[in-house]
Amino acid sequence: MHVSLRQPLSRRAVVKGLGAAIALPFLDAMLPRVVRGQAAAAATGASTLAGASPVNRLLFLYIPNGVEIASWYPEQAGRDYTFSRTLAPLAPHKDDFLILKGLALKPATLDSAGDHAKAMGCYLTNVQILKTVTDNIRCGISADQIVANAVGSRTRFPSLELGLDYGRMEGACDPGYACIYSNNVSWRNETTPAVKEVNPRIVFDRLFGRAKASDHQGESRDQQETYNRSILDFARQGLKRLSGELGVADRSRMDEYLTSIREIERRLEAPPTDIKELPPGVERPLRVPDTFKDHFRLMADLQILAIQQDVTRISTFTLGIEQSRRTYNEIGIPEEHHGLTHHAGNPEKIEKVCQIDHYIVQQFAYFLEKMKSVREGDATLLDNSMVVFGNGNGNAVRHDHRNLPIILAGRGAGTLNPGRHIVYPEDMPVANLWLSLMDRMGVEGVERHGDSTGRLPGLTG
Amino acid sequence: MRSPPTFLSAAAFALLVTVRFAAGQSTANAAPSDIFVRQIAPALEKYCTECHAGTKPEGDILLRFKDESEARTRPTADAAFWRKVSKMIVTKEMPPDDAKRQPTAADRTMLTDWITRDMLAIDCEKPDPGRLIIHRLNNREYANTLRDLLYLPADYDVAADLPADDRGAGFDNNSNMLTLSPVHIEHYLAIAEKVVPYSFNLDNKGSAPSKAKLTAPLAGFTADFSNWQEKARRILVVLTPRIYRRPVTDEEMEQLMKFVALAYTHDGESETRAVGLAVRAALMSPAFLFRLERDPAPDGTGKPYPINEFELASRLSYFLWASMPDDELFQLAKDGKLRENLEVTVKRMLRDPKASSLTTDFLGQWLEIRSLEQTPNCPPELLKAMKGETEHFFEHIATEDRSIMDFLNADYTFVNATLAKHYGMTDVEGDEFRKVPVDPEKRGGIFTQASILTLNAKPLAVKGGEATRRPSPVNRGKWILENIFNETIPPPPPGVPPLKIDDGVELKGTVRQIFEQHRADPKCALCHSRMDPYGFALENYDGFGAWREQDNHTPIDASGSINGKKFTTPKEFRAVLADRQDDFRRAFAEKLLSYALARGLEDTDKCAVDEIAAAVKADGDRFSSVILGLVKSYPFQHARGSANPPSLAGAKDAPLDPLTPSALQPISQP
Repeated sequence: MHVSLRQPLSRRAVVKGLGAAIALPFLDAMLPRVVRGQAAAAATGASTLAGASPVNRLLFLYIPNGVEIASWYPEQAGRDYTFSRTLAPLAPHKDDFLILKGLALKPATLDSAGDHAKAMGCYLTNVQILKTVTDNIRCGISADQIVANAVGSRTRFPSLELGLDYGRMEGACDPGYACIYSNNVSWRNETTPAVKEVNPRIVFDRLFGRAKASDHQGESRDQQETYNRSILDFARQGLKRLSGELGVADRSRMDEYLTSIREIERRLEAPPTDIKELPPGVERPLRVPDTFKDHFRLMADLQILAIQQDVTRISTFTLGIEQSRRTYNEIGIPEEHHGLTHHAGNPEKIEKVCQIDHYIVQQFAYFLEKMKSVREGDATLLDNSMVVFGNGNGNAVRHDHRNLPIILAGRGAGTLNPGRHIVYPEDMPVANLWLSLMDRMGVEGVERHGDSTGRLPGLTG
Repeated sequence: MRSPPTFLSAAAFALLVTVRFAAGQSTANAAPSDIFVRQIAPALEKYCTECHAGTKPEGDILLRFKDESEARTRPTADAAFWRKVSKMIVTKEMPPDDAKRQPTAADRTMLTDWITRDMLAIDCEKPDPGRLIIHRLNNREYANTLRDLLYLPADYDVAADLPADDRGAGFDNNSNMLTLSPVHIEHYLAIAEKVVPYSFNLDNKGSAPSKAKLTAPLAGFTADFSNWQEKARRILVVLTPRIYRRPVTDEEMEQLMKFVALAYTHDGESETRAVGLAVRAALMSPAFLFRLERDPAPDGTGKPYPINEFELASRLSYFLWASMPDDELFQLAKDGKLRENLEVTVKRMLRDPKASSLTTDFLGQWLEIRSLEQTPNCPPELLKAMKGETEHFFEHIATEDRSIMDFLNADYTFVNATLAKHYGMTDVEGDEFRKVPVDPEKRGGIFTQASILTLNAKPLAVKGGEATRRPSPVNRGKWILENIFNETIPPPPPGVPPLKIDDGVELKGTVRQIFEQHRADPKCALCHSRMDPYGFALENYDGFGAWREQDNHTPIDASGSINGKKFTTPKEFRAVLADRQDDFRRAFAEKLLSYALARGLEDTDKCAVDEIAAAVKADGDRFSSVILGLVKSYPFQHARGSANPPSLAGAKDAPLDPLTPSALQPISQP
């Protein structure tokens, strides 16, 4: 890939955590050629669901715990709506997103209690999760992973899973449900979550490690990869020898091992679409920033850089686990988020929840702004993406899993018509939206997903 | 409060005979159906059916059956149903405190034994060791194992970057939760790439002492140009069985020697570099990354078998050290002498510094204090001291082999200067922890320690914006029931009214008074009447566990009653808890057994817990008797075979990997 260093940086944003700095240049010339060409085609605005689709991306941002729903939706539907208090930070981007009202997560209403576990576990899988605290975890494959399986092999990473916290390290999670459900939004299959990374340094190394000088004594990166291919092959042989002795319960774990090895092998064999040289100004972050905002922005920058460089086209970004106990001291809220959401009508607590919602939406506005600042031909990165910002609880105090707060940003490479507040009939399955997004990512042959009843109408106008 | 239920007079059941079945006894002096008619049905009528019968039984729990067959086959009375009923009876949650009749201990045992044996079909004469589950080394086990395997310095933490493990049944070593993603493989490859050159001190950039130990097998061996690879082999012959934690076949050695050859084909490769490549490969093998236990006769019958001594060595070492077996354990296993030396071996292992993993991993998760340092609104230095107290307290019980009842009440604790100041003690200087006597009026036992008291308090903003913590009697009570007595508390019903305490408004009365108003609601009272007495008993401790006599200018009321016994002070509360020693002993054994087996407990484990608890009690509740009872227990010593013949299993299930459907077909054994 040719990188023209003569071209001045069109934009440079610096996020400073303590000791961590990353500056992202958004250079058109840095785009892989394929993206440049297709982005130009997409910018013509033609609906391109069929035929040669331009590159489209699918990103999910998950809000923890749910929101104060009364302050979320605008009162009016359509194009001419007045911003609600919570969504006001998105006003500069009004033409770039859809507010979708009326979507529901019915599978999460099954079984008693455990609403946080179900909100997260069902959000992208749309199946009833098995109520268990220890054995026999059963969820389902999530929408992002269906897309990754179908089209992810076109990029070095089929998908990225990022987060701002791993999950509670001690104690119980939602009663009756294992923590694995309320910690993970992305699931590779019904028993295995796609593990998320929360440390920006590790994300950086995963995405751009090849650009670093080798730190292995006397061995080049290429030689390391040759070795690693042999090692993985050896590991697979070891598995074969074991297979005769394994029971069914064991085999699912071995299956995870085998498919994981295969994915890494594929990545090692794939043409290196990643960056051999780091873009100028990009530095390796050294630590996890202290505040929600700084951590969010650093992870957002890395994610957008990865999308921009076509290292991946699919990502999930969990802004917090369900029942997140994060305190937002930086905006004057020392109480725990989850505790506050159970305000039972107390006006002071409601006010604080609204402030937290507002703060999280501000970060999403940053995310959109950043994506808009990246040019792809005549369009922007956001134009060629679909970014879903949402949560599976809906109303944070009632956990009714109806009227989920869902915002769909971007133009989906010409397949979405943003700028509106769409109100659907009550209890429209959110799975219908996921199906519609799968279509736009070029996934074929998926007729149903979880409790879906069809495609979601109205997205194109 | 609920109105006290009245019970039918039961003249018809005057013939009620109660027979206590000893745990594990499968024979009774009456035929099974006789037992139901003569004993079980009358007892259910006497204690339960006032509320749990008719068309709308309380809590949808219907406990009237026309005969035993209906009890066994009614669709709603499934295993989960019976487990719940049994738990309610065991924990004395049912009948409620205000019921007219309370079952005798013998009646409770009769009912739970019947449920266990006849409804859940658990026969302690035919024990079940539980499922065989492949166990990915969790992050801590992986790091500790590499440390011990490659003789790394103690502070060399390879696990720092690994994604956090999920937890099941309270512990992050739960095999069911130890899933694997490509991210793990990436990390494992990268860690091996880094740690192996370090341990072989390549280019003098690593650890010379590690290299000396790893290359010790070369002592006295001189190679000439014709047998460079022999040097590598000599190192690997010693190292590989330690990596796989079992003997290695010739074929497996040859596989690894291919890596040696591969490395030698590159210029400038030394034998340590060549060995290093083979070690990197071995570290990616399933034999290293997973704890594998092999069914010696996988015939699909699912019958239990005793695990072999190498597998036993690993179970012991991962339980007590969260790491691989050491040379002594391997030697015993190799000689087939581990079982006959079990007791002396366990005691040796408990004395080893590596047993501190019981503190960091078991204790830290059991009592939920592992991440105490991250508690909001509390000075970090104080949090560190709090955690130190509880850890030192636990280690003292473990290393001095004290009675585990010290957790419930002890006349000593451990403090450093920071904590002593917090407790109002004088004459304690420095950061070192030391054993000190406690004022029995104020402290004694684990839940009077600041760590637990602070953990179960809530962050609070007071007027003026100052961040602080307020005690949570509910959380404290819940914590004691769940962690000390292993009881389950259901979640609150929806639409719970708010607590005025957290609103920053001026309070009228104590926290206790506010809570008591809160639980006046009958739908809240059922659980809160269980939990709250334990929490209110700790009202003399503020949100940081410091002693207080007043709350909001009102004298503290720490009185209450548990199982009908009244108390007014923390000291009297602890005396009341002494009545629950049997419950705590079982709960502690259950928590530790779950950790040791790396899985959640099942109904069938009741038999083992009964036996362990009896042995521990007989031995004066010494800490080592819990550990020994546990490692000698049936589920620790045995595994259940696969219930599916491997060849059939492969055919019945979808192919594991669509790319290579043959990948998991059985092939000939090495």
